[in-house]
This record gives sequence, structure tokens and C-alpha cells, in this order.
Amino acid sequence: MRTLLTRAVRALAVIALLGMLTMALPLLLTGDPAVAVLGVEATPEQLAAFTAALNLDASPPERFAHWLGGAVRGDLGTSLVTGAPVTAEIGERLPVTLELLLCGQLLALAITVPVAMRSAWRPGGVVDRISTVLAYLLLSTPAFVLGLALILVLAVGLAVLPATGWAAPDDPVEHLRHLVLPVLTMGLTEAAVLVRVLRADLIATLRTPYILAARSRGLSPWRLLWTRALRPSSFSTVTLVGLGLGLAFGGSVLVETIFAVPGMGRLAASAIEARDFPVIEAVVLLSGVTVVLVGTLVDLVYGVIDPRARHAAAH
Amino acid sequence: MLRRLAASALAAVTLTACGAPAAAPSGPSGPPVPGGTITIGINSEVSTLDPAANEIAAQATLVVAHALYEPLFTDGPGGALEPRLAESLTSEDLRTWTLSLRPGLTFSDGSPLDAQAVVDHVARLRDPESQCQCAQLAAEITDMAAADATTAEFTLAEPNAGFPRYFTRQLGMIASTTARADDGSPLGAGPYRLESAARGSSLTVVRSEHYQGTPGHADTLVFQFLPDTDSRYQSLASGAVDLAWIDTPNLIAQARGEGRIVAVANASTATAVLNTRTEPFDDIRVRQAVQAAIDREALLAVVDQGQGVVAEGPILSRSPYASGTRHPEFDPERARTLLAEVGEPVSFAYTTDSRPQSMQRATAIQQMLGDVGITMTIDVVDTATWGTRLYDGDFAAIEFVTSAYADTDAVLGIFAPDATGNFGGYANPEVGELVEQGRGSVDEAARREIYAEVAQRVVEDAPVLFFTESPAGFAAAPHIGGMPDLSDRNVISLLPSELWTAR
Repeated sequence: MRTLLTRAVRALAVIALLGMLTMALPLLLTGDPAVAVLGVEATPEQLAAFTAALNLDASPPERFAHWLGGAVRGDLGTSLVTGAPVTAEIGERLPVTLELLLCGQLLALAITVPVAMRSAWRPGGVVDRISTVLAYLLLSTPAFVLGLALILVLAVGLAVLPATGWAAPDDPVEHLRHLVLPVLTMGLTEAAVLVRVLRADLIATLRTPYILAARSRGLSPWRLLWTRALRPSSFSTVTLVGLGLGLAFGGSVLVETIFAVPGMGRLAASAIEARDFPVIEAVVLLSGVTVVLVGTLVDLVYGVIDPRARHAAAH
Repeated sequence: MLRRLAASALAAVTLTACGAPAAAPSGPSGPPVPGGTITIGINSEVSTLDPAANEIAAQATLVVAHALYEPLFTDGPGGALEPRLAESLTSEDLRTWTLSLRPGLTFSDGSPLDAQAVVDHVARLRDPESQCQCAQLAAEITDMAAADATTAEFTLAEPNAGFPRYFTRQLGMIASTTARADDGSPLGAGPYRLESAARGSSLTVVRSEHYQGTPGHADTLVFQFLPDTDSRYQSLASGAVDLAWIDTPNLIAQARGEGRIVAVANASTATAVLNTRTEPFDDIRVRQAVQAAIDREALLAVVDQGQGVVAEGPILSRSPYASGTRHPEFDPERARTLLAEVGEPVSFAYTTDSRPQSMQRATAIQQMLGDVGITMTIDVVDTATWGTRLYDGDFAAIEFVTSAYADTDAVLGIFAPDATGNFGGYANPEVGELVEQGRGSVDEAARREIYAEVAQRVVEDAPVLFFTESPAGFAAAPHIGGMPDLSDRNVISLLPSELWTAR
């Protein structure tokens, strides 16, 4: 109970600090939002009127207090570019990014677990070598190159999937077809990292005496891996998945830009280009809060994976 | 090194040109097929359709405006104006103008688009609260009124021969001040009306039953927002879109080589603005030295892969006012002589954004200037910072790639000493007077002569360096008909109602 409370206090402190920093963004970023939104043809009068309405003169703590006051009432301000409430903008983009993210991470895990197990069972074997080469190939390929390569092969070459764009879930078939390429890009990139990590941890686990004991009792390789080795080997993987989920909440800017997916990443990127501060602030703060929350959640999952973690935390 | 680079780029271009089919657009043969859906990939998101929000007035998004709010005029061949919703806009003295609308115009809900609606629209955009980039132009109107249902009178503060062209952009995209679409945007009177908008993703428009002109061929147009240049082109290659915006030289060459229908115009002028208020460019000799040291032909070959033309000055080669400005020759010797006169080493920072062409251009210029002994550093900033630096005059030299030069009457105004768009603080009072005189000159031949004089003074004073007139436009799949030949245009005015699909 006390640990939970400490954690909560710590998390709140981090979020408050993040809030202050976010509100200082307009001071740190060069580029006048008025010029970014109105363009260089704007008259000085138009710029002055726009700037006055922004309330950028207040200090960051004042602006954070004002923002927080609105946030608790569900008001995150209005976009400087579209004039729409920021909550509406995020409300439409968030489900898209969440879907992409979850599907991407699930795909990554679906690839990682069997491949890492097979590789770890016979390190240096054929499967291990092939998967190592592939993983390094993927690791050294930036997402935008991989994305374009997938478009060239699957959309232009084989013409089985749409190259870009997004379809609402009202049309489930089209929706899924549009989902495949971005999810593949995210999942493959992520899997490349996870396979390396999980494989190494599994190899270490497989060398421990209790595994040897289990093996000597004649447990089949897959059962051994699934029931005995995977759980204690999954610490780093769980951490990485958690981090990935938290960080990518702000959207995968690259993947969403290449595939023209209307998610949080596109929203963040275009908001930064246009210095649309209310949107930038909301996206940054929400991603920050998610990272903190997911971090806390990952800590709790550690306890489930390994009861020793719970006890260590309690003492 | 640079010479070699230029030579090999030229060779590459010649090779592509040999293998490529004719540049003129050619689509499916036969008469236009009505019906169907045409999907158009554009480079940026359109979140607000209202003309006052400027999002549909950019080169790539003008196609959306042409569908929903057909402007009073559009840019035709050789800079001529083509009337659309308007019949004419005429003046005896260039100060009082009479606009005649086509009779019986209606917005897409059937409500009338009469002269009063035009006046109301212009008044809304002229309002100080308006965010329209046209506000400054609209402020030239001192008085306006509807004389009858199809006639409106405008009075300007000063005579201005370029006034009609204002109505090809926001001021001419007549938006209802009362009727609104589902998304809150004001209704237009174009050949299409808004059907649905998927935020951040696409816009779907359908043929408007209330349009008074020749109806569009396609039933439905979908505008997809595809921000990434390469995947936008691949979407065209894969058939996910029927047309795609292209503005990079390599993709334009590729589209031609792959037999797509290409409609591009040399609509964007690559320039650099020099800050004449501060060192080193407050000294005309330094500006002229930099100008003489830059080989524009090489920039065209390297950066634009030979597509487009060299820019000779502020009047574009296809402007109705084109008069053959004599731009100083590429002459490194002259540059060295000028620098020797100055007697001090010259160094400055060149501000640019991070687009590949901009970086290539900056690097090439850096080498050319290095050859004559000028040290140039390249300062790469993001677009928002670039805009603020330009606007605030916070630069020594800054790249400015713009479509503004398409409107000769308007753009010459930025060389007047106190103009808002005079970002480099160029102050030659004579030029300011000449511009005013030219704009107010009823006789077109006299105006052309005065403008030629302005252009000549500008290239000689070198407050702005002119590099190239570069192509941009749309590439279409072979089954798309009605693609225009934009090669003699200054603006990429694609009319989506004229497009049709053979599928």
C-alpha cells in the first residue's frame, strides 16, 4: 500500500514537472506561431491580433495552471489551425493510433516469442543464424525505408494492398486492408529488437540448473520453453514493450506520415510544423502521462512475473 | 567538381529525355466518359475549407478550391485570365471596377449567388479579424456595392491593373456568408459540393446539382491527404490514387519515363532574399558579386535535373509582361573584381529549410561562392522558423521558393521600400514609384515598359537572387482523361470538373 502511494506521488511529481516544461515550449521553440499559421503574406495587424489571442505572454506556471483548470473540465483549448477543440482532434486521432500500436505490438510479440525460442534452443543453429541476419537487417533499416519497400512489393508490385490512406472501421474489409502495411512496418521493426533481447535472456535462463533438472526429467523442448523458461526470461521484453507502448502513444510519426494514417503522430507532426501550441501541449502531456502510467504498470507486471520483485519492492 | 557534377546531371537529363515520351499530356482516347470516382492525392491536410483559412489557396490544394468554390477567374495560358463564375471585370481608369457575374448563379444549396453575395464575401475576408492572406490585397478596396443582381462595383484606393487577378484566389472563391455545409464550412458555388470529410485523411465531394456551368464528368472526387512525397507517388503507381501532386524533379522525370500523364507548370520560383539593411549585403557590390558568382544553369541542371528554366528576374518567362530582362551573366571574374573593390573578406549565413532540393541548392551555391572567395555557411531550420526569420528580416540571406511571382502586377509591389513583402529591406525609391506608375497605367504597352524597367533595376540592384522557375503539378494514371497542358501556365490551375476516368 505504501509503495503504491509512493509511486503515485512520484508519478504526479513527474507529470507536474512535465506540465511546466511543456508550457515552456513556446519560449523554447523558435518560429512564431502567428507567422506559421497566417503565412508570410499576413499583415502586421493580423499577426498582432493572432498573438494577443494566444496568451503566450503569461509565464509557464500560470499557463500550466490555466491549462490544468481547463483539462479537469475536459477542455484542452482550441487548435490554432483548425479552430476545433483539441479534445475533438485527439478524440478522432487516438483510436487510430491505439489500434495501430496494439496490432503492431501484438504482431511483434507473435513473431518474437516463437522465433526467439527456436533460436535460443539451438544458438548458432540454422534458424538462429537466419533470424540473427534478418533481425540485424531490420534493425539497420529505418522505418521509412522499410515502409516504402513494403509499398513497392505489396502495393505496387503484387497489388494486393492499398499503398496509403485509411478507411474507417464501418467497412471492416477495407479497414483491415489499410491496416496491414503500417502494422507490418511497426511490428517488424519492433520484433527485430525484441527477438534479440528475448533470445539472449532465454539462452541465459536455459543455462540455469533448474532448467537442466527439468530437462533431465524428460520435459519436451517446447513445454520446457513455454512453461519454465519464458516467464523468467521476459523481464527485458516486457520493459521494452511497455516503453514502446508509452512512447508510441504520441504516434509513430514516420509510419503515419508514409502511410498517410490520420493518427496522433500526424497530428503531432503537423502541429509542430504549424506551431499549433494547444495541440502540441496536449499531445506531449498526454504522451508523458501515458509513459508514466505504463511505467507504473510495467512495475506491477514485474511482480506478477516474479514474486521476488514484489517482496523486494515491499522492503 | 561542380562543373563535373553539372555535366553528368545534364547527361542524365538528356538520356531521360531521349527515352521519355512526349511531355504533352495524353490520356485515353475518345470522348469523355461520365461518372465514376477520381481520387486525387495532395500533399497537405485540408482541415478547414473556408477560403478565409487559406488552406485551399496553396498550389497543391487549389484543386480543392476549384471543385468546391469555383473562383470568379482562373489562371489560363500565358498568364491570361479565364472567366469562370464571372463574365468580366472591367475598368476605364483601373480604379473603379465593374464586375459582371454570370446570371442565375447559385450556391450548392440552391440559394442565389448574386452581386450582394460577392460583396458580402469580400467584406468578410477584408475584415481585420479575418485570417485571410488576402487581407492586405482586399484592403485596397475602399468602397464596394452591388449595383444589381449580377453587377458589383469596386473602388480602389489607387489604380491597379492587377486587381482582376485577386479574384483567382481567396477573394474570388465566393463563399456563402449564410449557408454552411455539415462540417461548418461556408457553401460554395463550384461544380462539386462537400459530401464528407474524414479528419486528417480525406475529403469526398460529389457533383453539385446546382452548378450553373458545364457539369463535372466524374460523379465523385476524393482528395486524399498524403504528406510523404515518395509514398504519394507510389500510391499513384499502385492505383490507390488516380492523380498525385508532384513537386520533386526526380519524380517528375520518373512519371514522364513511366508513361504517366504529367501536367506541370514552372510555377515555383526559387530565389534568395538578401538583407540589404545589414552587412555584408548593405553593400551593392557584395550583392552583385554573389549574383555574378552563381551559375544558374548549373543550379537548373543539378537541383532541378534540367527541368524548368533559369529565372531571369521578377517577371516570369511566361508572364504576359515578359519582356526579356537582361540578367547579369555568370561571371566569376567580375565577382572577384567586385570583391577586390570591397577589400574585406565576405562571409555570411544562408538560411534554408531542410527540403532535399533546398539543401542541394544551398550546397551548390556554397561551392560556387567558395570559388570566388566568399565563405557561406548553411543554416538549416524548420519551416516555421524559416517563415519567422523571413518575416522578421532576421537573416543575411534566406531561400525563398514561392509561387508569388506568378502574379507580376502584385509581386513587383514587394520591391517598394515600405511593402510588407519586402523582407530584405530593399530601398530604391525610384523602383517604388515605377511600380505604382505601372500599376496605374491604363495603357498596357506603357505598363509593360515600366514593369520591364522595374525588373531591370531589381536584377541590377540584386536585393533578391533569382535562380530557377521550377516545375510542379500533377501526374495522373493513363486512364485519366481531361488532363490540361499546363506547360504555358504560371499557376497549376487544374479544373477537376474537366477530368474523367475511363474506368
